[in-house]
Amino acid sequence: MTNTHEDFNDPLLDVMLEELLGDTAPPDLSSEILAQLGHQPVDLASQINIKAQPARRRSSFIPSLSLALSAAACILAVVAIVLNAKSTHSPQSHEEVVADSPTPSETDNLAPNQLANDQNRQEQQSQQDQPEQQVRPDGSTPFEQPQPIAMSDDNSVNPESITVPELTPATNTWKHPLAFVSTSTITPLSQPEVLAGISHELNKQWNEQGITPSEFATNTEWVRRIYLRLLGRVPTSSELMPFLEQDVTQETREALVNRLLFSTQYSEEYLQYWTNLWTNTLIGRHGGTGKDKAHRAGLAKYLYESLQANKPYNQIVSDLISATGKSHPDAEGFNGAVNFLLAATNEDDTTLATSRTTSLFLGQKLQCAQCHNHPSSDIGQNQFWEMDAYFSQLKIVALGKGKTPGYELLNTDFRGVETPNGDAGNYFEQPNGVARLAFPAFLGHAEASASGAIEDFDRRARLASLVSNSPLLERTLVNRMWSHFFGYGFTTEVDDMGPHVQITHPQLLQSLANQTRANKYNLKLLLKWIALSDPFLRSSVYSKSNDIDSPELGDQPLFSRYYSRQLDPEEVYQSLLVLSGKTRKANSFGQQQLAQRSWLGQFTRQMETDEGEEANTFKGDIHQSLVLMNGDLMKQVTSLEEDTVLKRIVTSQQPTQEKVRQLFLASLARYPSDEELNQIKKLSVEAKVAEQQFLQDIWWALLNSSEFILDH
Amino acid sequence: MPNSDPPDPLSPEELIQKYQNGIWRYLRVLGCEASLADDITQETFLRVIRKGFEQYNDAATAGYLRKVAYNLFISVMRREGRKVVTDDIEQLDASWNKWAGADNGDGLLDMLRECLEGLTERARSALELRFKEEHTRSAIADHLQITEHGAKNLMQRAKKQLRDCVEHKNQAEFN
Repeated sequence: MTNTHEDFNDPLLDVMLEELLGDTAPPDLSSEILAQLGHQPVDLASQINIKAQPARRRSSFIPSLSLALSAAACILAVVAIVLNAKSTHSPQSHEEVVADSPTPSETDNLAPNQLANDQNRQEQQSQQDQPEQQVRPDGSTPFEQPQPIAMSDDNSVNPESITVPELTPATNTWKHPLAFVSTSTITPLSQPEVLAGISHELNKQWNEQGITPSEFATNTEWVRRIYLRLLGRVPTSSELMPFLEQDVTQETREALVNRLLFSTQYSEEYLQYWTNLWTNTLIGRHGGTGKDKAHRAGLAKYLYESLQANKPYNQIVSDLISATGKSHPDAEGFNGAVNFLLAATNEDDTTLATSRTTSLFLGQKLQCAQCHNHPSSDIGQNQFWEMDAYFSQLKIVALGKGKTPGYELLNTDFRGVETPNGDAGNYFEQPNGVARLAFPAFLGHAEASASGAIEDFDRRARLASLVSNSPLLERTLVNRMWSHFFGYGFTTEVDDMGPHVQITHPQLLQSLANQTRANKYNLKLLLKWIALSDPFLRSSVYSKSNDIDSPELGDQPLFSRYYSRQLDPEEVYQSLLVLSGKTRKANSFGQQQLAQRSWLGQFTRQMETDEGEEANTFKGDIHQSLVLMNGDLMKQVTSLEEDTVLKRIVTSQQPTQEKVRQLFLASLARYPSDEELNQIKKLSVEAKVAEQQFLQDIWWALLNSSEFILDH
Repeated sequence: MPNSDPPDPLSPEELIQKYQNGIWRYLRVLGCEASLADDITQETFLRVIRKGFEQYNDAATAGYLRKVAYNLFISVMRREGRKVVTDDIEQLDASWNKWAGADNGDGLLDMLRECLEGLTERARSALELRFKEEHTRSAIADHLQITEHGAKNLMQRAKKQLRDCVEHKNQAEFN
């Protein structure tokens, strides 16, 4: 082995030298492989539903014909330039040259979207992006076959605000094949059918990979998990108790999930947790806290009320994109939804709003294409700016230093660069220095008209309708929620589901997305399905039979086990809070948010990037350990003076051993093992301190253990 | 944006012929013995052909095959309780992509062959003893009648010269 020799530390060079100087050339393995395939011709193209296209070959007469056509085109171009010397470019060309102008034909050559080719590519892309057709072997799964994607007239979210005629396919741009809604009706399935569908899809892949999933988790492991995922905190001992003794069935589990999601007992906790989670997702942990124009509490108020009403997710998204109104909760004309865009807009720069809208709601990371064509897909730079053009009517007005300062988000007529037919566009600069004009187009699908006047074309309302009706919306939502439960979604990055990204379980993703749409984007229902699904019931302990399922090492997740991961700082905070005896109350949401943010500020900081990213230092480092071990919150939780969980256990009339058992249960959702108990007994003898102090020390050690901050 | 059409999907035979050398070499770079590289290369093609996949373009296909091969390699290592020699797969991938990604390493091999001609007789001998005869460093030193340290330096300098030469040729081709 070359690599083991200390002199030779360049593996690539070594291998090549071995091949050149030694006798280790790659063998021809074709015959062996084909023999193992059983000599059966396998048509890859038919397996994956890509029509094999005949190779493009030039026949002998083509060159001369091509030359003739080129010459004709040049002559026509010269004639056209002369005849249209004063004219501006038509919106169909969507291209404008302002400096060092090449001729129109040259400009066309510079355009990233080359069109005949793109049409072919699109046909393939369209089929490639419907992987369910290749993956699904038969119709035996309870899920429905995915429906073909087609454009829809269903603009149910904001039908009155749509004034633009139907979209017409652009002829010169890449188009996302899944951008529009299917016109076919998707039948909602029953919960058992959905759960069976999830199991079926995962089982299929487990069988293919030859692995056996982990055993089911213990009752208390699952209960701890479900509290963490649905309420963002660990369960208390009393909440765990019912699951210690009885046989837990799927009905029992469903009853608990229903209680956490729908009962008034947990309503406040659910709302606060998910409001905070969505606020972080939409504007980051630092959004709306002074560095931008948003009012964080204003957005939280909108989200809280929307979640309280269990508003459909697509309606929430539509509100966030199309909102107008004032940002401050006390202002007349307040609309908390405006804070999403206020956090992402700086003067007339809406690029962050564009990148957040496309990535958060559509799973398309277009920001890579802001300055150049996307490096790993066919998305052109123009696609980013065409999406950005939907925000061109947005206007922000500062409201001064009144009683309710803040901002107002409005729509105004956009003039930009007007074309003779009344369309208004904006320039962006290509890497080659040539400026190009962009008009609104939804992921490459151009609008038939692009007026800048609000009364003709309310661009944000149009975008809100397109996004909230796009099949990409539910796919992205499902991916995000799945990732929330398992730590991994169906793609490497939750917000990056573009055509260049491999999806690990395309059929499962599409089926859950279809059901999400069929059930009117009911967020709680989606949470419930995942919470009760087979993989969420599995233990995090793996064996030799599924040790290849290790996404932590960069492998694709197979969801054959639960993936242990560290809790988010918010979850640690809320867990410690509940163990300190405090509960989340409705009238103290704002105060609690402030206290939590102050605590979180120790671990997160804003990065000065275009995307407004944040760095999280809550990763088990020394700083985290010191804060957890010695911080005020830990002092509260380990206090014997207030009404903490510790105090209740310590002052109870039970033997010491039972108290230790209760401390384990309250912190780790399990009882101590015999070995742990023996060790603790030994320590109690050596410590020579009063029982109270000893138990306090045990409690402190448990809360600072790695097991406590793990979701496992 | 690329201007060319997506390639026509290859038949299994064409797929194997086109990519097998690259996958085999990549596995060797990861640290596979030749026989293990044979096995994993076979298994890689069996898996992807049986399962089917999207032939989006050459680079994507090559990348996908490498990923499958890498996963199989890791599985074998784990099953056998062996450590993975290469721990920085991203760096290795980047290096592979730069030097061998486009043509499965054939171009690099050609450049290296030419560069070997530029080495001194002594340096070439040292490399041949190492890679052809599989001599240890001390045996190489004995053969060349130099110290072990001298043999080590000689080979390091030879490899650096080869790297510089390949880099230079690559740059010249690019320009």
